[in-house]
Amino acid sequence: MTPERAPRTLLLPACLAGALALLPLAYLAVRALERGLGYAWGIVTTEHTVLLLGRSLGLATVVVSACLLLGISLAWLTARTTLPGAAVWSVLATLPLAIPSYVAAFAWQSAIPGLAGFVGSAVALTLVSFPYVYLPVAATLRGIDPAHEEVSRSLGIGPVRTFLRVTLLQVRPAAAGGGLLVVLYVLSDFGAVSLMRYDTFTRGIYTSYQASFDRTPAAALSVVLVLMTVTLVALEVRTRGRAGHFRVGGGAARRVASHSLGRAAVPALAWCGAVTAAAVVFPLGALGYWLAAGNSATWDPARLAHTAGVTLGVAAAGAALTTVLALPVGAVAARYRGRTAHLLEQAAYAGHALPGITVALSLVFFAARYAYPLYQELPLLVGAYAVLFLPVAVAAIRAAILQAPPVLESVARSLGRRPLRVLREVTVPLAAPGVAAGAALTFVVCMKELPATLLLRPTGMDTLATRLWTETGVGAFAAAAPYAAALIVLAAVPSYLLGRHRT
Amino acid sequence: MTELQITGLTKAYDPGSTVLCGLDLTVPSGSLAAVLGPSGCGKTTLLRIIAGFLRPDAGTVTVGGRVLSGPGIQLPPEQRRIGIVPQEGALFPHLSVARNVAFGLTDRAGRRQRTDELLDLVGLAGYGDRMPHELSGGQQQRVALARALAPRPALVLLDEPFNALDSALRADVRADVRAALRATGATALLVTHDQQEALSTADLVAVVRNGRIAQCGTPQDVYRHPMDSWIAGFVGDAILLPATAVNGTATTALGTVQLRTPSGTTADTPRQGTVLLRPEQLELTEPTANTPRGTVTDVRYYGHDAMITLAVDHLNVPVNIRVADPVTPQLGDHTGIRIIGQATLHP
Repeated sequence: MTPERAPRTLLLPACLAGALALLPLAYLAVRALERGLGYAWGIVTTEHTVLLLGRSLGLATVVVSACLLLGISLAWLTARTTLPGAAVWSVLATLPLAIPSYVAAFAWQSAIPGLAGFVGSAVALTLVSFPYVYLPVAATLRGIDPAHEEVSRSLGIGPVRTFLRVTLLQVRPAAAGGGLLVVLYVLSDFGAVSLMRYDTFTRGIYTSYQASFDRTPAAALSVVLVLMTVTLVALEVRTRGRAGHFRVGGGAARRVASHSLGRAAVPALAWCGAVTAAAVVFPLGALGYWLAAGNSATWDPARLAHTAGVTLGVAAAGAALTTVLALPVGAVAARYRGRTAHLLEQAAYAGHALPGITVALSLVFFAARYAYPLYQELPLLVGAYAVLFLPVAVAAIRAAILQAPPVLESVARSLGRRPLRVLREVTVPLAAPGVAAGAALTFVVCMKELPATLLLRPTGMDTLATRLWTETGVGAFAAAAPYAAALIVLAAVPSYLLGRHRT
Repeated sequence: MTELQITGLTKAYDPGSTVLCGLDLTVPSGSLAAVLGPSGCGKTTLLRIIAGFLRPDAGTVTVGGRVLSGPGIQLPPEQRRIGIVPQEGALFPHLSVARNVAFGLTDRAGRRQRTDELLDLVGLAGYGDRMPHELSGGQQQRVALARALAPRPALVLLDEPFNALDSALRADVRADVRAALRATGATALLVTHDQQEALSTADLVAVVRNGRIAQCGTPQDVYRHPMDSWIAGFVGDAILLPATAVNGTATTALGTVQLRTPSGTTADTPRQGTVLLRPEQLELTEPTANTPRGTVTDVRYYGHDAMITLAVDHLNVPVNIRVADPVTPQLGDHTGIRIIGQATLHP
């Protein structure tokens, strides 16, 4: 046990970080309502907005349905059957998480230009986001008690109906949680839909911002998008809370029996192979093809190296700022209970619900009015990264601090150390591996970020993601490929280190 | 002077579940007091309030006349000058032994010397460069004590520090800790649920029950004159016998015993009550017609002595008697019983 109340010296920087995380949300609302509620309402209820809304929701529905089909089928095959090479397939099924949606869109569009629009967006988004369903469902399937299925079979119900009536019911909370994450991903996505030239909410906001000097429409649309995503996050948190109740009794009762596939092994293997081919092999293959097809006109090593350097620089700055801001929040969230600590954690998680484009817009508005010297300057971009990825860093740091015994902090206090020095001299060194992992993860997501970077980067500056986006946008696939390859390679290094750290 | 004075300490985590209710305790300067109580009696809460990690609902804590917690006052832990020795030592795993000990020393100049001095005091001179995981459990505990004592605290709190040690090591570490505390003259409070530890280590034993001090006194006092039968049973093996007291003598199923406080009973006004005896207050005799008699039902041999369990005629509970080695009684033997010394009559 630690002191019941967080000391002020820790709470103050934590509140500062929380306020920073909430600033875009608040300012967006202010800006949207600047010209009166009626004006904003008028924009939100135009036919165009309703069309955007319908497209976003339609895309989300199709993608989430496809993800549930892919995720649950692969999870069942890898976790509960005698599928040959199940361990390899389960690794392959998580790999698409490492592919940014705009890289998938680049691959599909460069191969089949006619795919652009709704179908292309749906294919690209499904193939990068189905692991959000696969991972929790596979974990649940590995952990469930086989007794229920056995009881069902003993009561005379066949294997297929048992799967539908018993197994599927048991994975429902996990699948629902994963499905909500997919919907959130689709609604926030900018990269895939913009490259596929499909007008959803995010692309609509971007177009409206670029096209008009009146910034209120963009702000009002952003508010609607944020309301949708916040609702989804709240739903996701609720399903996560309930999922716990489905596990009755702790501990692994028995090893889960594997269903023998028999002759069905061949179609099962074909299915897994097809999904993996489409989600992992195809994008990498397309990338390889365009790299090989490139010539000296498309290859500009000096420019590529420069862009890579810039990307690493801004991502490092973003990760550093995010980690520093997340430290006090993570410490308070891990060590103290009570209303303030809870509110603070919730505020830090706000970025989780904010699509990158809305955060970028709100910071553009804010800087244009109150901090003009920062407008389209690096600090603003780094600040946007911090707002967007604070949840990533806070979650990692909180988990790391929970691992360090709190009694050590009590001892340090009793030996005359003030709370902030305790954080620096005891908590952080002990939690260092976890904090480093959180920083590395933040670094990777900063590097891959697209919409906020597009809007907030200083004039003339490019990251790998924005170059890739620009070149693909004009159909220069061979010129885009080196940037995609560099991005994947650079992002893979910290990911690989993270994986090694965990094992 | 670093006398610890606690008055009226009250703490409730939730309304309706009071952990401490008006606890009073005074520990004279330089003495080692044990707070003894069953788990959940509030002793850990007491410790955390004294150290400043919890805020009491009411009451005051003063050390050497300086108010640490009180109405409108709540000093943070780092300003209290109270050292703590947690369970299992809780050494900083990322710091060497020397840097652990020096952690609370702010004076750069004397740091090195003071560290060596304390490592020497706890018998670990030359261990400064080791890392905590390279030490045994007992050594870690000694380093934890050295670390707590290094900044010359006004008070040292020890939270069941010997729990994690195996029993052979425990007595040694306990003796060393006591010697180190004596050498520095620090006032100390040891929290424990182990009555042997409390009686053998402390100058003063405070028995806590339901958030209050049930009894506070020297180990001999608490063991020999417990205030009630619950305390009697908690601080040691106790034989509780229904008795009738007349003229300062109580008659029990095991014979008569002299009462310490006659309390004015006469032949006309006999009193009913319970007499408390310790197993070492009973003696086995040859079975004769006019002594109470029993049959040996169990013999537990400990080496230095043994506990004999008897089934006694006219008594429905078994009686334990401690006898010194060599132990002669055998299972099934018939024997007589005699009470030695005095006892107290509890209502």
